[in-house]
Amino acid sequence: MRDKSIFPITPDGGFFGRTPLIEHILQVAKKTLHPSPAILLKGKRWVGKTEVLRRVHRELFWEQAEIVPVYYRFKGGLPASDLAEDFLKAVVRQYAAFIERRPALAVSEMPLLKLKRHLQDSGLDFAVDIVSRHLDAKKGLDLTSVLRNALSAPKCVAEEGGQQVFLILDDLERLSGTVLCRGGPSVINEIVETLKEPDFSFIASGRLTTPLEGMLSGCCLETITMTGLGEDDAVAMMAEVARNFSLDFDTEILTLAGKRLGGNPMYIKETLLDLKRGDVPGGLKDLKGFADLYVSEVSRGGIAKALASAVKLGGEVDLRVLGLLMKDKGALSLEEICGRLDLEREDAAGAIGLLAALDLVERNLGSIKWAGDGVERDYIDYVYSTLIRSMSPDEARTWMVRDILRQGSLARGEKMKGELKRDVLAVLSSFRGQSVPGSLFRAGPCGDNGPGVQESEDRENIINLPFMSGSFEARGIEKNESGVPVVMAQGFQNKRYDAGGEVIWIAGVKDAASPVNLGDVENFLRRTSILTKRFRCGRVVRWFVGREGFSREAAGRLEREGVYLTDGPGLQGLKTKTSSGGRVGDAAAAQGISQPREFEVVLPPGRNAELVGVRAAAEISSEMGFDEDSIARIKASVVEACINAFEHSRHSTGRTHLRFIQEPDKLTIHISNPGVYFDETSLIKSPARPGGLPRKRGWGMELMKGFMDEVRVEGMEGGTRMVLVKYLAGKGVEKDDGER
Amino acid sequence: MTEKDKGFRDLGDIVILYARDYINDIEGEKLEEMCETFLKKGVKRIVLDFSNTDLINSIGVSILIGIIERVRELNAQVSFSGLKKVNYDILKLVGLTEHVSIYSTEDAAVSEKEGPDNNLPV
Repeated sequence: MRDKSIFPITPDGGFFGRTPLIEHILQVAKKTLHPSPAILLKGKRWVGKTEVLRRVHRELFWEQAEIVPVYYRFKGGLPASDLAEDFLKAVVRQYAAFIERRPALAVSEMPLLKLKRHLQDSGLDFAVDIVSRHLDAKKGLDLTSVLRNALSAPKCVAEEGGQQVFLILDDLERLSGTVLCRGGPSVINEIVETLKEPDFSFIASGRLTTPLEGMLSGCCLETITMTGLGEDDAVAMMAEVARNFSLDFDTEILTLAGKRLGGNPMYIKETLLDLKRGDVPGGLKDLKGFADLYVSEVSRGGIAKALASAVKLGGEVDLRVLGLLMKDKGALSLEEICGRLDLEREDAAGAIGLLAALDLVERNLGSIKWAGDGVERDYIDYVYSTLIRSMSPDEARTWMVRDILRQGSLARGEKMKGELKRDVLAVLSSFRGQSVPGSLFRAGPCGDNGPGVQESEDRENIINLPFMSGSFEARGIEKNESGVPVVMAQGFQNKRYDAGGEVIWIAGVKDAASPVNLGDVENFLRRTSILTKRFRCGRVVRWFVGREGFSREAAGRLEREGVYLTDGPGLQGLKTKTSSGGRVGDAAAAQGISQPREFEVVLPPGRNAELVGVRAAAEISSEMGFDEDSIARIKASVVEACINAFEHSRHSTGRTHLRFIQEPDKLTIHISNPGVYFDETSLIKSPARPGGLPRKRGWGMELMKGFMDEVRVEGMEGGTRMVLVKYLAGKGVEKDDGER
Repeated sequence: MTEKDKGFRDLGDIVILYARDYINDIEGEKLEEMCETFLKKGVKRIVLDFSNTDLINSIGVSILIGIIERVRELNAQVSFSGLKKVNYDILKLVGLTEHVSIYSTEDAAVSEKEGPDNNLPV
């Protein structure tokens, strides 16, 4: 979307995770139903409601001409008459701005009389009448007419101007205390009555605890609750902001930070902004750095300042009530709170009323419970520690840092526990003939970095990894199976893509809080022995991965058996070594887009085996977002490449390997076959046919070149590799006629 | 059994042959054999309908070229119908669209009312 913001918004590059919501709101805005649909957008403070509403306004302003968007953000504390005039000006000004395609007018601070003259000059007489009625009512001190004239302005301009208006009302709850006059009607009630008109489409935002749903009952209302950004979006946003600020980071720490900050865009921005300015200690490269950074933020940084401004606590009673509710995970009654804190009922009720208005507690049928988010909890905990428990600021911060370090370590351990087997499979799949330090396969006993196994190829302290073609978990190895999970991977060693180069890796994975013991080892050795016989492969490499390392006896036994050993940290090191572009902290990697995803398919010789590759190509290219036409062209090219590979494989048992590499802008497909090397010139091209008919054979390469963006044939040891590339943008392709 | 299940629809002097989903050497040769059978019976017009065909590979293309060649030898006619875009693109890239009449549907090919449209795939 072009950058034509009318109301201030975040640059598009720094906006994450809300596109589906915006698209949904736009769909509702464009519906012409009776009664008109409406949306109530609820969410905690700073979760991004205003940003979403302003983007909806921008889209409606620039991308269509039928519906007039009117955005208004309510301000608290204005007298009702001033509010009415401000609202009326916004409506007529934005209506004129849309009709005249003058975005600057929508946010102009033009005085009312000047605005009236502008409307007269523009021939918008019905809008002039609305302003005139306002001025007359104001002159006559008729406050009710002033308010009702203003609130009916959107409906008037829609009816008189003949264009549907979509009203975008931001922070509606800010009106909750505004009344027309002392003892008079509530302004929010007046607005709600206007919104209940059946032909009026709108979206209104409010905080979670504002009872707007009940007030708007009778409208064709959809309630949407906005929460913080999801984990992926939060990490992507932090990575983008950190990159813009030239801040170093570690992806795992960003994940922890995203969770700790609740995915709240404001918390994320404030934290990174303070870090960039150097206003707070810490960083995003390790857990300790983040703990220091976060605690500084919630105790004295930008987040603390914002919360101090938004959450104005009345005094000690409020803090004590909050302290109790934060500590108690369930809901309490008013009597329980009074009893446990030794408070008068009136004082406690007053405090709870204030805290509910601040969205910090929730009242439901007499039960009261904590309703704030994690950051609010930490902020209040710090304030409570310093004011109620009389800790010094440094002491309170130290306790918080220790708490975060403990929680962070637990979270990391928990995450790793579930992922070790997946990590081992991923690491095996990433073997592409790299050379890695042998020390990564020689984890000694716990607390010892002693020598482990030595392979013949490890004389130089380097292990040459194979080129893996597939990996899987081995199950059902023996009856009543027990013991650690075993995973297997099949591939080729030393770039020999034939039976002589075939290798199988069998890995045991112990994903537990205790080191690998002798029992684990004996069990693993027995099962690998069964697997080795079953697969009859010339070369088998056995590997044991233990998250917490190995006992001395287990390590010794594995070494004597020639089994590779890797502990948890070693596996992470291996992962870094084997993954391409695997630099920890890479921003784009955090968004999951820079590291290529790879899939492999091994085709046995056999009729129509190429269709297996075609199905994989279709799935992968579809997932990447290629259009139907491109997917069909990729499928056709894979068929041709496979046919070539089958034809040129001299081994009756030779397998064709397909490797699909997904990158943000392209799909690369390697089709490798063991056998003789062939190039384009060696492909058979039969002579042209009589009657001008095309030649019969030799069209495969032509078809691939016509359908893919890049096609090349590469020789490799013991075979040929064909490389096909298709760009998502369809570089160089004229789709209409099927030719480049 | 429907006509499509049988693989052909015999209209007397015209026969429609229905190609399978993937035209490779085997399926191409089946089409070739069916053509030969009907040509020997004296059929003068053959419509090859590809509306169920997802993909024609280069070996299939070479067999289609052979079919066109054989039909011409016997002074008969062959036309294609129901080509999916990718298959149309394959035939165009090979240059075959200049040698065979292409129709959007088998009915259009049978009636020849609309005239061939060799520029627009289905």
